[in-house]
Amino acid sequence: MACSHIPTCPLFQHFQSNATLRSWKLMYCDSDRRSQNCERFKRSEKGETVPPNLLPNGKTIML
Amino acid sequence: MSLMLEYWPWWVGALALTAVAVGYFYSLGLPCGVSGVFGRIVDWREEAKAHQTELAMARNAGRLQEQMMAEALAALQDLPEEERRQIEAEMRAAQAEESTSTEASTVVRPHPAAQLAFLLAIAAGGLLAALSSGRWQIATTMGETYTSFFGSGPVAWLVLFAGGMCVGIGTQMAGGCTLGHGITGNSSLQLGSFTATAAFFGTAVVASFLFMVLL
Repeated sequence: MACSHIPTCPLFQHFQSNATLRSWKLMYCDSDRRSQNCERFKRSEKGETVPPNLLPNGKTIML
Repeated sequence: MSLMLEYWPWWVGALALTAVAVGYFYSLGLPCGVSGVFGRIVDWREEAKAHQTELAMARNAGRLQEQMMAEALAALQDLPEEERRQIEAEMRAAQAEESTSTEASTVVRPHPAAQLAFLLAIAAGGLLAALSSGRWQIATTMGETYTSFFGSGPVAWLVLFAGGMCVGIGTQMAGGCTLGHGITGNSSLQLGSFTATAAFFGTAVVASFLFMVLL
């Protein structure tokens, strides 16, 4: 079963853009097991604020 | 002349609420809810920071996509070999199917000031409705039913305060209430919303019966 946070995750729509970005979905979103490793998922489950530019691997996008 | 002499029919109110929920979603890209706004206003510094970050992401969509792609390729290298090969195979299959890549747009949440304005507008709308129907008055009781259960003295105020605390704590724990879960969440088939709605409606029904029996 896919990550339960998909409907509300602001980054998920970006993961549909092309094959390379889809790898995020494959690595972190497509199953419960993989979503447990997602830094965004972990922080959300703890009730912490999830920065919009936080990637699932814990790295931050700087713009 | 009073604009609204009678309450609107229930179905008009339902349509109006639907229009608000749908309009909110399509104009802001966010599910409509009220209780969550309180939490976001309390945490206004983080919300303002997130708003600015999302603005930067929306304005630099190309750079955002480039960085996400670079990080994706780096993250792939950190995976165990078998898992990496499996994902790369799925990526190749996806690449063979798609003809062009697209650029997703970042939804920018409203600034905390706008969210505060939303809450104030709700109160203003209620005031306008009461004024236009000639029903506005300063009330110090909660109506006959409430008074019949809890009286009108200090106990009634204490119960009201405790009930309000329960609502505040409950909506933050559940991440929403009647609008966020009951209307928006359920309509998008969210399992969490079904659960939350069943819980608070069920509890309200049971509590109502208990009050009638015990009080």
